[in-house]
Amino acid sequence: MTETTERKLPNEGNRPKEEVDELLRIWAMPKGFRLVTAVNNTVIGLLYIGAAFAFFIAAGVLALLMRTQLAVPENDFLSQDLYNQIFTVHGTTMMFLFAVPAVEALGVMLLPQMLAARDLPFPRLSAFAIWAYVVGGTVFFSTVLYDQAPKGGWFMYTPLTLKEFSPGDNADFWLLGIGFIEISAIAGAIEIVVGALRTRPPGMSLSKMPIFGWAMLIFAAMIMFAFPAVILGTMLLEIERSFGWPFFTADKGGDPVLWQHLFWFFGHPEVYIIFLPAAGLVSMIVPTMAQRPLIGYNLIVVALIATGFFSFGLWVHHMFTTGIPSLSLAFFSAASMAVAVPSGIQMFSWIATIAGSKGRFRINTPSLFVLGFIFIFTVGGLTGIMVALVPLDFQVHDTYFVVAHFHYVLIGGMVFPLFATFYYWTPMVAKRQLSERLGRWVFWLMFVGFNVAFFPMHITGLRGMPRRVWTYESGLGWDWLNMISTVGAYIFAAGVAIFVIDLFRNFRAGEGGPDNPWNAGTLEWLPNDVYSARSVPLIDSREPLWDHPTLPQEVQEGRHFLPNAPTGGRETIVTSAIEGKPQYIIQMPGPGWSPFIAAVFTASFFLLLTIKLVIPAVICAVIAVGAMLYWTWGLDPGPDKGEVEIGAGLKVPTYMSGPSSHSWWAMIVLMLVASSLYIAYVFSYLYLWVVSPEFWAGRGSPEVPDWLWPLADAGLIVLGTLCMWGAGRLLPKPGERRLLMPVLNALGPLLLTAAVALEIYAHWQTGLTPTANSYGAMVYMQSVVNAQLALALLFMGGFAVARYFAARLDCERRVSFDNGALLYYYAAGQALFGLVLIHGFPRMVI
Amino acid sequence: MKNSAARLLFLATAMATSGCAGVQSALMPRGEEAIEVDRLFWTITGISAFVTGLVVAAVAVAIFGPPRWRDRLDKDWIVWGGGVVFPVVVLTGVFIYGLIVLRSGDVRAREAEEPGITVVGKRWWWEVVYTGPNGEPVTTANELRIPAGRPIAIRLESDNVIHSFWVPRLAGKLDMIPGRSNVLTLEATEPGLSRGQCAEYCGGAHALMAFYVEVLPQEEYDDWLAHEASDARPPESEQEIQGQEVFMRSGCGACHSIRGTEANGVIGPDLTHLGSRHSLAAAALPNSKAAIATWIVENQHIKPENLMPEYRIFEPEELDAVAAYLESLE
Amino acid sequence: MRDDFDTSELFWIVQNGFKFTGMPAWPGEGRDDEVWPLVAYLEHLPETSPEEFAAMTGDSGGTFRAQHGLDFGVGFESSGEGLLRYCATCHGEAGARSVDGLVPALAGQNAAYLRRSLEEYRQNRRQSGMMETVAAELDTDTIAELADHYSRARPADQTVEQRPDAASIERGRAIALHGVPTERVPPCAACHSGTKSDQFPRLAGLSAPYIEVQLQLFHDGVRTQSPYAEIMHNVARYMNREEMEDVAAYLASLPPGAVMGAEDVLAGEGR
Repeated sequence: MTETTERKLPNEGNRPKEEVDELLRIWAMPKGFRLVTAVNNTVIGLLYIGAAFAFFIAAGVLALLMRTQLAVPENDFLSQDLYNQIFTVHGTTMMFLFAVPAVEALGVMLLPQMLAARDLPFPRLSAFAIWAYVVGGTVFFSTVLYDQAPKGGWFMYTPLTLKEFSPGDNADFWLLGIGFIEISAIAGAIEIVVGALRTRPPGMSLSKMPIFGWAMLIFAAMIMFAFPAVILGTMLLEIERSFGWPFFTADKGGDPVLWQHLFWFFGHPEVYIIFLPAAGLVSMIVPTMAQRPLIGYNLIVVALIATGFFSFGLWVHHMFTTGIPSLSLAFFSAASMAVAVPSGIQMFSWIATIAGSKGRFRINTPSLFVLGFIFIFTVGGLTGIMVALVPLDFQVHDTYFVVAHFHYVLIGGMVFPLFATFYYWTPMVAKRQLSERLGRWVFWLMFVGFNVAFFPMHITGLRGMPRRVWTYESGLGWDWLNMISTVGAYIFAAGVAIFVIDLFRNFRAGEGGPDNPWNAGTLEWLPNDVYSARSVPLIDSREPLWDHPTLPQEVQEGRHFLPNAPTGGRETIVTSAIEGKPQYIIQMPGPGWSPFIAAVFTASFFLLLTIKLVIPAVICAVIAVGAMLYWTWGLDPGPDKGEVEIGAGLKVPTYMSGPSSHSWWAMIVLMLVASSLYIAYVFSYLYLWVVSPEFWAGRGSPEVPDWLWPLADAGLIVLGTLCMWGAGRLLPKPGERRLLMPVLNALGPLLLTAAVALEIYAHWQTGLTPTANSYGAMVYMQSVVNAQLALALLFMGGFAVARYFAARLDCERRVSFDNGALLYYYAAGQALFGLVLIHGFPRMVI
Repeated sequence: MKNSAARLLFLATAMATSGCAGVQSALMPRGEEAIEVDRLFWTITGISAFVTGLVVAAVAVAIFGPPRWRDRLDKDWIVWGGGVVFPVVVLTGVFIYGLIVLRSGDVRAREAEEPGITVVGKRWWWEVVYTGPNGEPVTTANELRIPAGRPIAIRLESDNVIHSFWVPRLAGKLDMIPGRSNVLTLEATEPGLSRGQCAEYCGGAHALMAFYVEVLPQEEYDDWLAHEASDARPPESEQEIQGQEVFMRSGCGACHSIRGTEANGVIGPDLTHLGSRHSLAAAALPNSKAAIATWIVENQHIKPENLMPEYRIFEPEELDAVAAYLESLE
Repeated sequence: MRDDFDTSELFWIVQNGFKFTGMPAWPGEGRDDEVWPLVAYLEHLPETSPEEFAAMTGDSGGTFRAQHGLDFGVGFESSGEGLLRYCATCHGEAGARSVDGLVPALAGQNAAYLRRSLEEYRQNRRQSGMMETVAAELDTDTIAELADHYSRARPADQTVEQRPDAASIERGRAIALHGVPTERVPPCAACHSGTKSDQFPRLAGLSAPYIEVQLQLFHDGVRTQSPYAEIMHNVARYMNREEMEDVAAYLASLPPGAVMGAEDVLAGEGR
């Protein structure tokens, strides 16, 4: 902490008080039932975290039911069928409806504050994702109340989850629940990537970004590459369940293990998706409690990146017992151990930072939870090394040892940091702090209860108790261990219950809490109101509040950037991705019904589809799409507002198109997601070929269509691409007309759709059917993947054409077109590659 | 949750007398692989305890230690040393140890003869097919017998969902996957009884899918196999004769086989030598006449969702006779 | 009537009865297959001339009655000759040849099975709107007499079925004799060959539609209320529609009273 030298602030002199009033008016929170229309990150972030926490409680109650059942051998408290449903819903809810949404919620809530941004770049997208998640998650969870819940375990292995062994809608409800988390996770990833890279305050280069920002950035990147695998997996599973395309049926050339690959390619990174942000939070809390900067910032960033990278190389360690050759076992075993190194780096960075505390490391509820985390996660990491050892995994895989291990990692690695977060950041969003006295009770009960519950499970597992058993014979040496675990679970639950009491007694959302109760160094502790910080500070260090003690006052007085609302609406500063140089102002939408309506009806659509009410489902889909179109219609405001001054004499534009614009970045993220999905498809295709080449074209299936078919198809795609390119060139000047442009813009997506249809027909006329064998299923699946994009492009094309005729599209105001064109080029590339794969590969291998 | 006091009492006695408690415990190994893994486990547990102690001590010093000690921890090299060098060194050692154990398993697998035993995972029981003395397949169920002292390869298959074959005292588990055929090598060090259980969740009655493994000296095993390959013992007592008659006329043979009789079903477990097994219904019940009778009429209560319907169609003495007959099939 | 109610409403009325009018619900719970034909008949009723109606019900001694040698004139009598005549209105003279494929022939059937069936109808453990109303009027002795009577009656010499598809019969034969072990379908002959427990019905020569309907009822879980039915439910639930039709075709092709599959049932071809 250096003494403040005289700095030149962006705005000298006093600002008029009306500016604050205007900001208050613009960012006012909707009142009453209109609260559901709110889109501001602090409001929906709170809703998001609240919903996630509610799911934590609900799934925790299920855990208590299970522990009660297992307290004594041969118990009949729960029936077999109910127990199977309960453990499935417990796992699914904890992983998909609690853990991922909770960390995502923290990103939504904390990240903009840490960057002193007014909001995330796509507020309505967040609102949409959250409402879809709340509605869908609630419905999914409630299935356990009326005996309709899935019972295949949270990773739903095929063929147990195929129609033959899981008739009824139960398994479909699982796929539904996953569908929502897929939507909200991808939406969240877009928000966070663009938010972390483009809405940092001026001067905050990447190397000055708070560790949590890095953690969330890597979190989002991992979602982009991991989730598509499970999206594809769930598509395949639902298609096989509904239409009998045999992706996973061994008799017809499918392979049940394909599901495991797709699931764990997502499922393993998911553990780190949950853990990295939590570690990021710890890296924020530790320096504050030590009152000094984090030791090894750069190393921690490298560690986070390395963890993200490694985590994609170890999915097979969930499958060591499927009968994999020793060489691959050794490779994945090594990779699984290597991931311990980055965790070790972080662990010792924290210890060193604690040791270097100015004075003593402060012990209070947040830091107790951090210390609890360090202990539990260390133990979980060490048992992680044990399960990474192949021969040991042969023994402990799928036993209570593994149950203990992953609860140590997940509760230790995520829940304890989360509770630290609750106690640490509450003053930022609430009128007062949570109770320190109750907080200590919460910590000690949770810490003791956790270890009492889960430590004995290591032994239970080694003594031979498999996981997912609803009952067990007495006399196998598991009896009293289970009893102890149950007692521990109740102690843990008591801790959580006291936390809930604390919440009810002390948590009052709103402004007016102490500004910086912990004397932290980062921007979320600036004085703030509904509009976040009054002005966006100029940053020159990692802990600006420590280095410039007068910063809060300067910010409050509007002496930094954007102390007002020059466009008269919601806005925030967009800066360059690396350096953090101000580039332009985003004009952002305010509260509105459309995201809420779109979300509710999207949720209803999937739900009704699950219970096979097709017509009402279609009606809901139409309403949802309508709401989305209505909402997007209001975006892309155009350059009407011209350039505005944001301080320090900087005049920046209020509209941007092309590679600098935030929507361009978002589209790139979306394309990366689409390409990850496609790569997962290509993997699946080749994988099934390796497993069952005897079903491929020319052997167990008809020959591939003649060369002319794919050539004609490629012709259509190239023609369509030229149309889109031409349409882009022909965008008229503002106020002018060029009728060829909308024609080409409409023609492009139509040609692509025709190409997809032609490809389907080409195979159909050879007599190949998707239900015959895995080859047929895979061939048609390629068209399903392409058809998705074609459908999206049809909507986007229609949308751009409509905007052209509404005079909202021209060569300057062109983002609506650019987004569609970008996606089109990607889709065309994917479709062309698909032709090479589908038509070329079988010819090559025959 | 009824009479919990009695259960607590029972629990206390169980704790005091956990003599046979290790029958499914990986920590009481009786097979080569399990012994090696047990050693590996304790080694790593030792290292882990040390590391945990180290971290706890470091944190304690970092918080409460005198300033001089704390200063030593407040260094970049702590991060490099504790976070990079130390784990890399330890992990490399541990990894190599793991490879050695893995390799020793491969060697055992190579030493073993071609699999002479196939275990097929069913919902929710185990079909076991031996190669008889004359090379003929000998089908039995829910129990495995192997000779001690040499590696035995076992083929693992499934024709329904994924199961996992696991006998903790002998070796680690291996999955039974439809469309695949995995081979597991067991080498038991000494004769004795162990218990195994399905480790991969397979729906419904997964929790009640266990089995016993009896390790025999080679000669005893050969004798046993010869006996197992033989036809069923004909009924002798009047009750057994009546039991066989009821069994045959009630259609039990549609699903079950008893070699040497007209019962030749292949849907349910083979019953040819049922009386000689340690348990019933994949170790859901102990093997006794009373248990057989109970199973026939109440199996859905004992093992919910199992695929055998309850046969509540017998007069009491008919049921008794069937149970007596089945128990006599040694 | 056709103007007042559409088809689905008629179905609902017949199935559930009409509140406050005294019209009861259809007694065979889950037997929609019985309700639909009645609805069809009701819909057809307005177009039926009095002569046609009379011919159908046999009031005027039309050709139908002559053809079948039946006496429809009698109402229900609880015992004796009258009762047998009443049964014959559906099951045919001496139960040898029934009036419709949906109605089983009874002649030569196991007495124990017939007794059990009537008891089950009487105790509402087997569902049928026709048979439950009849069985409710019978006492145990009468049931025993009836069962005895029909079990000793001589079956019709040959089956009335048109020989259907030979391939279907062959497929059905394989299922009946060997089952489909991979699909968990055991062979019919294991219980129904005619040589097994007399609690199990003999199926040889029964009409195909009757077998199909009963298998479907077992499959759908409509017929599960007796311990025997539960066993059959566990068999039929794994059968698909085609397998049921094949089995029915095979059974119908057998001469009544035949021992199913003769030798090769016992020889067995398991594995």
